Amino acid sequence: MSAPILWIVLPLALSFFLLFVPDERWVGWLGGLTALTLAALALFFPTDSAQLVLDLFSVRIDSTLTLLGRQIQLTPADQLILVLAYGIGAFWFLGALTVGSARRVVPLGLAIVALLVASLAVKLFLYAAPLLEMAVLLSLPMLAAAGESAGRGVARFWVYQSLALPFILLAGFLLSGIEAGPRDFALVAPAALLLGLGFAFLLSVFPLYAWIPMLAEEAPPYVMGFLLTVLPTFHLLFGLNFVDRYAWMRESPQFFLIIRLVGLMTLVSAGVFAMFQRHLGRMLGYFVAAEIGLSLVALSLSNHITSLQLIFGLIMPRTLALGMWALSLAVLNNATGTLSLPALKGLARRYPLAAAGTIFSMLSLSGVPLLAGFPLRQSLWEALAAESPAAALWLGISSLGLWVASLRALAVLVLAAEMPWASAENFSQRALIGLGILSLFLIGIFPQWVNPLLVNLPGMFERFGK
Amino acid sequence: MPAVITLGILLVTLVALGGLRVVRPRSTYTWAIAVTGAFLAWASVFFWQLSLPTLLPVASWTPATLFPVSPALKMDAVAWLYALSLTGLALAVILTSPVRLTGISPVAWLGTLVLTALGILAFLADNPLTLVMIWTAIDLVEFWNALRVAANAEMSERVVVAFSLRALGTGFALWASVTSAAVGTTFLFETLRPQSGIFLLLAAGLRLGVLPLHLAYQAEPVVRRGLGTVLRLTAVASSLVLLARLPQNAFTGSWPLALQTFVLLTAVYAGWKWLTGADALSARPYWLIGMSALALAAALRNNPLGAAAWGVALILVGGATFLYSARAPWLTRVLTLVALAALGLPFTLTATGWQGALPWFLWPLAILAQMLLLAGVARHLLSPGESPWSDLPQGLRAAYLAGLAIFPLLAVLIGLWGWAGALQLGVWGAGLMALVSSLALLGFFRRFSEFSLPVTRLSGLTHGQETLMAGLGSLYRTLRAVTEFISGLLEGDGGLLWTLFLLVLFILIFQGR
Repeated sequence: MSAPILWIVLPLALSFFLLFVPDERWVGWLGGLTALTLAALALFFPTDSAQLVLDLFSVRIDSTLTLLGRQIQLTPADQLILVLAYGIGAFWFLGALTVGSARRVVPLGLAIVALLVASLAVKLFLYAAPLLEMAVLLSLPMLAAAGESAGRGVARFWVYQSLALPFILLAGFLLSGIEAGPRDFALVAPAALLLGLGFAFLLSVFPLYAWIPMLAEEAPPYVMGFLLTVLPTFHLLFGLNFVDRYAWMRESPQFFLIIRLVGLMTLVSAGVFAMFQRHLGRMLGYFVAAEIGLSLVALSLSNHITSLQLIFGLIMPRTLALGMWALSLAVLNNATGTLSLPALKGLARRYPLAAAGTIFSMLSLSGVPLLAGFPLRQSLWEALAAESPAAALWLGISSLGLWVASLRALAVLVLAAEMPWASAENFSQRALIGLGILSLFLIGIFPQWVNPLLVNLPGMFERFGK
Repeated sequence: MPAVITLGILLVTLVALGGLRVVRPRSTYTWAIAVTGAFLAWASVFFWQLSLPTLLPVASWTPATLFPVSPALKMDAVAWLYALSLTGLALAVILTSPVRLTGISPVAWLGTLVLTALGILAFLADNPLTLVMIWTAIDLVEFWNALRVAANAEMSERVVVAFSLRALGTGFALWASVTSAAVGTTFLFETLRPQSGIFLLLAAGLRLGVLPLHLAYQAEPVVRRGLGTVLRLTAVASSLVLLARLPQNAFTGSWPLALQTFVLLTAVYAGWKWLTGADALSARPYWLIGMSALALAAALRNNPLGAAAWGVALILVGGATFLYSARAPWLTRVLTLVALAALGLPFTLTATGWQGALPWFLWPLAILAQMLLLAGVARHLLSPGESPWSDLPQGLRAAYLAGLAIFPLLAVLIGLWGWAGALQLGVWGAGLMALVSSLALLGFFRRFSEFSLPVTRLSGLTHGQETLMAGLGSLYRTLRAVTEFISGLLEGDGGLLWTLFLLVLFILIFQGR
């Protein structure tokens, strides 16, 4: 069997099948377990090498599939991406069961993950952009179900993400002449500008992230959390492939300077805006924007191996925190019907675990010690300070903004007149949020547990990771 | 590894108490188990002396390229000193708990032991990274405990504000690590540079309520002698231990003098409030601020031993004062002797307290602060307590006495043995001055007003804080209006055009560079 069939075609087919499964629990379990199995297969069966199973037979998964004359390839270097993609998928799909969102999230979510994997696997990267656009289009029915009217945030999301497509395609057209190096300098400048614009839209940097808080305010929290975790992560990996591919990009100090400036602007503006929000969903949106900025700042570090370790290392704590936050918001939203702060006053006394899940996730994403986001964020902060103390100061200001936002949410959630403490969450919600909070602490105290994920990075980005 | 044994004993006791609470909630053995565990933990701390200093095994963070500093624990004389005092306090709290009006509370004993374990970890922290992680853990425990008993919205808000202020202090410590990285130094206590040291000092000062002077709680959430005392003292001690870790000559230039002046003025203010407070528990925040200010002043004089001495005096003298609920004149006299440990006399706990270069014009402030704090101790010990000694059942008297006896015992012992500050002559003149002036002050009030001091309410500082908060609130609202305007532009109907306009603007700026 070839790897693209296993990790792209099969999940796409299953996602189509899941659309017709009547029982929501079956949808959740089937989708979640499939994603988990695919992640495990990626972990234990690297492509292009025969693996002996129980000393009985050997299995070999070919890395390449040729389709219409084009190659789709999942090499052993892509192992980490496959594990992350389907691991993140499993985490979200199984979590969807506890908040009754499985039907909405799982079938299309599985297809989105498969398409995003395909975008990284397709060898002519021009074809990747349409695949990313297809993922965006598939997410629209998740955000506005049949019979519901799509809000302004959904429309803005679609427009902004789609605008990336023409810029990247045009840039690709220009870049096809300068694959190996800057032979034609006249083409590099417009190509770089178009590519920059394309990625500015795709990654949603400042000021193009306006759709994120809008979407976060109107979309169901769990669906929105899934999309805001998966899409930026894959868009960033897509961007990293470009940096790895073009010498004129990865060897240009100006390129990394611009990346740092854009990253800091995104990070600081999101941190400051988050501080003044009166809606927990919008706060989540700004935290996601800040995470995008943080990854760009990590990319701008002069030591590229450190950059890659930080970018990939941050994915797991971020996914965990956003997952926990979205799940907790879904519980709170089911209870009140809104996530605006005045409506949530004192809710910690009725939904203590959902409130704790929200607050610990926010604190983790703010880089508070003891929580999952702290070790790598602090490492990034110190690495940045060694290169530019001024940039480190801006990162500190952003963290302060996110931290104030977290404390505002905390103050509102615990502020209550005399009301006894009681837990209104159901058992599965309690178990999952409790487990999530525990994981946030464990990764915060033992970040070395994430280390195995970072070992093969130089192999994945063999030129950038040198 | 005696420290591991101490932590192990505390852990086993916690598991036993927790298990018993689930399986047999009304068990009569709970108190006995808590006392045994606390006693064994306290006794085991003495054995640390056999292997000082020792690094404890802790798993390193990897990859080392990302994490040049990993959490590390080290057993040394300062850790021993603080651990002995804190485990002693925990034992005293549990031994004296049946006497208190609040009655027997296994949850409070669990809380006491958890905080003691966290406090010990803070004392063992061998680098600032470890310390900030344990600070956060202590803050979370304190936050949860305070929130649990917060009876109304206003108190809940105070709990969040107190947590925020502590976290802000932790933020300063993190910024110190960033300033250290900026000059290419690994962030360890030993290699600390002055430009990072100031932020660590600010971190400790903010967490202690000294820099700037502020009250985390303007009123205690629930006036509690037992767990409340451990909670407050552990949080403070875990911050104070940082001052004893700062290397000598960490502070140079003229700013330490300015800070020292400010800190001593804070100590005088807090000393006066402590002396004139209605009772020991309601004035407790001022005792903590006043003694912490003396420790900070010692650190600013590059005297880490002195900082440790004031910190331990805060625990022992404070512990004796706050736990003394059932009173008898003879017992009061014995406990008043504990206050002698904080005088700075030779061969006492705080003999090293006034070492280091203190300019002549600051001496009156220093002595005044010390005098007010000590006179306050005497005043609060001499005031009527919750119940008279004679009302205590015979069986409880021994446990209560044993609990209170820990404080004078430790105060004397630490002055004579176990660390670099023991058996020191110190600046004995200052101690003598403080003794004479404290006695004179006590005599004055006894003679003229028979201790009916003008009891001050905690309103002065409260008013100042509220003015500051109102100012910050106004700034916050202005900034919010600005951000809402920008959000409105970017998210409104013309949002796409505005974003494109900004994008073009940025491209032009980048081209210019």
